[in-house]
Amino acid sequence: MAPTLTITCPHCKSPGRVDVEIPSEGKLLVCPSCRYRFYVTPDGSTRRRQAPDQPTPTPPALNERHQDFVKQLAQEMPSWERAGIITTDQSRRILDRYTKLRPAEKRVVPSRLIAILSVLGAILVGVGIFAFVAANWGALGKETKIGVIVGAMLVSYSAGYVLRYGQRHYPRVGEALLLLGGIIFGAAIYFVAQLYHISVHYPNGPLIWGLAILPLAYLLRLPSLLWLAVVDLLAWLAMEGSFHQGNHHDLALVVLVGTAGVAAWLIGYAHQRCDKLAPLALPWQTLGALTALGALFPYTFADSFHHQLALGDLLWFHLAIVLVACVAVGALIVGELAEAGWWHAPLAGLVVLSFFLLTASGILAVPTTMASLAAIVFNIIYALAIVGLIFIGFQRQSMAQINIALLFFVADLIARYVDVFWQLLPRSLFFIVGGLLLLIAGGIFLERKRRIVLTNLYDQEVTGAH
Amino acid sequence: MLTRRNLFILIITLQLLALAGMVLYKERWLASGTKILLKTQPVDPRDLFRGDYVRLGYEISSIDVSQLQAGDNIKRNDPVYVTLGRTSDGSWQPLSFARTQPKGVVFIAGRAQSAPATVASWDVSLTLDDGTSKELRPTWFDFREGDQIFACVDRRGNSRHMDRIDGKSDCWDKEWTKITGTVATARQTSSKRLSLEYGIENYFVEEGKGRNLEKAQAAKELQVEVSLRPDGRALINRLLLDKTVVK
Repeated sequence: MAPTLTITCPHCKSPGRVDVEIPSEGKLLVCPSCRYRFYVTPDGSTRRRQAPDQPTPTPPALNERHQDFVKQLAQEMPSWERAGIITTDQSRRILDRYTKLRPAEKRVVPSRLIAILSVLGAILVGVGIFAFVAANWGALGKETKIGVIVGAMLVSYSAGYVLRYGQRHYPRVGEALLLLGGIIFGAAIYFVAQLYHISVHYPNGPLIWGLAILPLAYLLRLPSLLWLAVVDLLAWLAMEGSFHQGNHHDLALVVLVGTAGVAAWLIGYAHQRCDKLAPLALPWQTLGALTALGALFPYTFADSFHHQLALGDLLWFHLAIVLVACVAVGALIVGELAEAGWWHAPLAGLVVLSFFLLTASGILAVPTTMASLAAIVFNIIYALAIVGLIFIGFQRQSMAQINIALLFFVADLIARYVDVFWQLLPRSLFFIVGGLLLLIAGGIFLERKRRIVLTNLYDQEVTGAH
Repeated sequence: MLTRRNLFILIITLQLLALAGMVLYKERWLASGTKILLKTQPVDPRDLFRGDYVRLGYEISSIDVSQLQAGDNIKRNDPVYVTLGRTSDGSWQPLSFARTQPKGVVFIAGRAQSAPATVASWDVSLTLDDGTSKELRPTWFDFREGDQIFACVDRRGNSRHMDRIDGKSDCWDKEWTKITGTVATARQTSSKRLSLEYGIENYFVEEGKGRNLEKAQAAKELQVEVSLRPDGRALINRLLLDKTVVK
């Protein structure tokens, strides 16, 4: 039988008796007269605070979410008023409910800035560790050096995990530290290679690095780690390809990386069909589009058509990439049949992929006399590819895709201008006219186009029109 | 249980195992392989990713294809095996080259870096101003017999630069010696050579020491101790500058 304890409510001071067993960590009681909740310990003393294993239920992130919400609300209100959903008075009354948060928003640091600063910090520390490894400091022994790097990696990973998922909840700094852990792992690989003076088969470095952090990016849904992993794997492909190609032809490598870019782009779209994976689509799509359009770019010059390529040594790489691309397209077909226009992205991807494969196999090689004509035809195809990417970016509401397409549009414009006018115009005039064209085309025309596209995207979102 | 935390720990453990595996594999290779000494000469670039290192060249890094059976149709990345023999001073020298793995002898395995390339060189004889003659083997030569020229010669006796006496250029490196004379004979020779890589071409040193090492080589002997696996693949164990281990 538990001893009876006489206790006083710390809030209303009314006395009472407890005759149940009180555990050593204390027991939560409710005062029968004032409903005040407090803790009592076995010796009868009372504590006003909550038990240590029950943290305050308002994490700091909640305020941040509120701020984002209020900010967005203020932006959306005018369009709701225009659409007749709410009246001006209602809009004012809704916004008046958040009078404290709105001025607070101006005083706090924007969350995106925190994320950018944290990631920049992580990259800087990572570069520092790379430089430390590169300096190959002599004073320490082999074991100590490995210990320092592995220790730094473990500290970064665990601190990142605790900050992101622990009770204190600093998700952005946590993500940056997890990224840093991934960067240090890469530094550790290069460090081991350096320790044993390894010079054979250097592509193994980025391959191991990319494969090791890829599962981490998926497990924790971390786009920053995925960016790093995809860059690593593309770099591996280029290095491994250059190791295997027999004839030292750089264009063959460009084409190989281009096919990988298309596959990555399709993988990105396949991610979008699954809600859980959608946050990880952007690195694949962006790096894929950059690589694929970048690899197509050399073909806008007539010189590229002088070279004869042959699949030869890189055949297996191309086959593996095509297989990956087919799996991605399969995933897209299974997931999106119901959605209108689902076939645009896979079709565009497969068309560009086929171009790369035809080029790689040497079928598209033309006689030297025909090179200029081939380049003109290709420039039209290239422009179509850019328009296609803008169209798909518009359809999928992806600003990143549209921006990449515009970037290559400007690059193509500059390249063609140089091609045509370098010989004809005196140099000073060339620069002045070129600069003016760029100002008008790039600065005004593209800015205007970009604004129109953005407004359309927004209207589509608001009105639900397609 | 496959919770997020446990999977996270599992992935990090696998990353650690990958690093440990790399270290243990190389340590075992170093401990169990056959140790041999090879003479080497440094060529010094810098690797952005990997800190300061000395690029090492060996006698077996570039060979005449006539030394190798069916050497003409060798392709990039094809294996080449070099049988080695021990000399009186303890270092090892190439005895023969083969495209298949030799048996019962000490050998090192290499890979062709590219198909054989024709390398042109010149045999030039200069009559110096004091009447003596000097033989040079420049890779490039554009003068005729009887021309008055000067040559810049480095410490190893290689011709680094040449021009006419009345030319505008001069020897721009202080370590070169300038010799002047008249071209007595000049004959072009060419040979088909094959570049081979053995995986022992990079030696990483503390930042800033790479160039010192290259300069030290001008007067001293540099040797590399490598550890050979039974299949002929080599890993650098240590570097010896004039029989002293470089740390």
